[in-house]
Amino acid sequence: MFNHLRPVKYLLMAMAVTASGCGSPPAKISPMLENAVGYNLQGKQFSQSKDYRNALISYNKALQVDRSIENADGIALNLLNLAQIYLALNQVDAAQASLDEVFNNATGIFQASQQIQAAMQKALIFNSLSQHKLAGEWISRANVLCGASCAQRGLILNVQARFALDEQQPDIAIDLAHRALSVHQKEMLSHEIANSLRLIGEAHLDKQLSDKAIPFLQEALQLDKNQGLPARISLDLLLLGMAHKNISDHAVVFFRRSLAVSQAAGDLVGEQRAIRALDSVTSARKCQPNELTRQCN
Amino acid sequence: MQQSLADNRYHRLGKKIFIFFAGAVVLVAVFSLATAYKQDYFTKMTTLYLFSDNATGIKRGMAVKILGFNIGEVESIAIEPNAKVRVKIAVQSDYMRFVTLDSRAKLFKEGMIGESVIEITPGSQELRPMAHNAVLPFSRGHDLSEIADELYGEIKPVLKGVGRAVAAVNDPEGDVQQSLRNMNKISKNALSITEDVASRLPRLLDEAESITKTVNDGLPVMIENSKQSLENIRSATSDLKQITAASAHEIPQVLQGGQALVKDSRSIVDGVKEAWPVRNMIAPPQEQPLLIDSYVQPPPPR
Repeated sequence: MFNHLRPVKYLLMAMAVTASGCGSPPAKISPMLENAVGYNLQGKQFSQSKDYRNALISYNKALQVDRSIENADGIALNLLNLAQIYLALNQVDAAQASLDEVFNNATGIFQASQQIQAAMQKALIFNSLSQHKLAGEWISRANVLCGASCAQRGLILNVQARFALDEQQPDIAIDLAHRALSVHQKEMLSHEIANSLRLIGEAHLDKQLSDKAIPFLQEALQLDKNQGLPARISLDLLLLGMAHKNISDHAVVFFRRSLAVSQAAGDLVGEQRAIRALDSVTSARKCQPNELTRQCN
Repeated sequence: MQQSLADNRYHRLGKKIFIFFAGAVVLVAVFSLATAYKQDYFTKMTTLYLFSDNATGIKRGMAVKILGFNIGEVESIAIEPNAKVRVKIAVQSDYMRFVTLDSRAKLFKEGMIGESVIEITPGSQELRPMAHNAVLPFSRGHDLSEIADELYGEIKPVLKGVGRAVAAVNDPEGDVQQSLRNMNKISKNALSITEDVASRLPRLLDEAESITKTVNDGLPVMIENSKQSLENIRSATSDLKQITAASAHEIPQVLQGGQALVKDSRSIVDGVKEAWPVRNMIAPPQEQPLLIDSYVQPPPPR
């Protein structure tokens, strides 16, 4: 019926194919940038194998190359990476200096998203140093820079939830973590989804709502297992044990599983925490279930 | 006639006596001069003085030498009011060029039973010669008794050591005596072993003969087999050489071909990467961030 249109159809197909073939090829990167990428990927490999000394060398080389061609994204990225490596090497001042360079943006070449990331990392560093006030200030800065929406929105909400939980404000923590969860679910970020779920579960435990906490913690455990993150698996199991504190046999099982994971991973802090939790169950139970997360003695 | 003869013998007698005595005087004079010359009475001498604690070994007329040459002698020896002995020596002035301000005189004996002499050591030629009547520093060499004392001092500990060694050798409980006893035991044991070996030797020889016979019987076969094996190896090597020689010019070509193939493959892959639609599927390499997440490790339990 439409046989007379067949040549037109072929012609249109040929044009479509030609048009798509004429599209500009992906931009080739310069040999210098190729070098920077090489060093950066090398640094990542070293970092993943916990060889932080060599990671430091590689990232510094990448940074040097990026600086020599003023590759702003590369400079910011490698400075942020270096901050993490310095932190792993317990060189907090050097980490802060790297982050300050990005956040202060003296050359005006960095983007807001990079400054937000720097502010957030600084908040986490201050939190790890138990300087909670400074940590709160820096996460606020990150929040202000982020505005209504930014790529790090979910991360900021999770960190804020964590800080709220540490300040014994479980309701605020639950609210923030839920908002973070919805952001991360849209972005399909499994590890952040698990973080949000764990925070919600922990907040419910703080509120002594074990039944509400358990589904969140179980889901977090599953996600962490899928990604193979031993420290987080151990913590999920520990929190699940606390959620089952009323049924002491179940709690003991979870604590033992937590202990086994920490021992296998060589996580001494997790191991100590699990042993303490086991002791608390087997002893006269002086602690409340939610108190274990706060190192009930 | 007898009178005339007597007159002839006494004729000019006084003249004859004068000539005789004159000749004798001349002969004495010549002899005296020769002696004086021989005694260096006509050589110009320089006087030098030496001072010593005592005169032992020094006597008048003693030779003074330099570099083994006799250049003078001791003229006199006298005691000074300060109880020192002053020795006056005369040195031939011709040799004074060797006796400079840093020269030293030393008394020593030539050989074990030789004469004592005063030896002057030549001084530095940059310095001026000593003046007439100058004082030459003097010291005594070791005499025989002193040498003997020194020698005795050195030999004494050696002799003591030898004495102790001899005592150690003679000590029945000492190492030497015990070693000798052990040697005796070893010798006895060796003797018994030798006897034992001697008793077994015929049997061993029989066995050796038997083994030799076996080897002799088997050896030709083994040699034949070995020859065959060597022949096979030689043949295989020869084949290998031929194969290698035949393919020698082909191997580099094969290698080059392989390289070219790899290069071509790379070019093709690069080309495919650049070609549509593959180029749209391959993302250019990018620098990657380390994972930053909101996970906060709970503080360690206290």
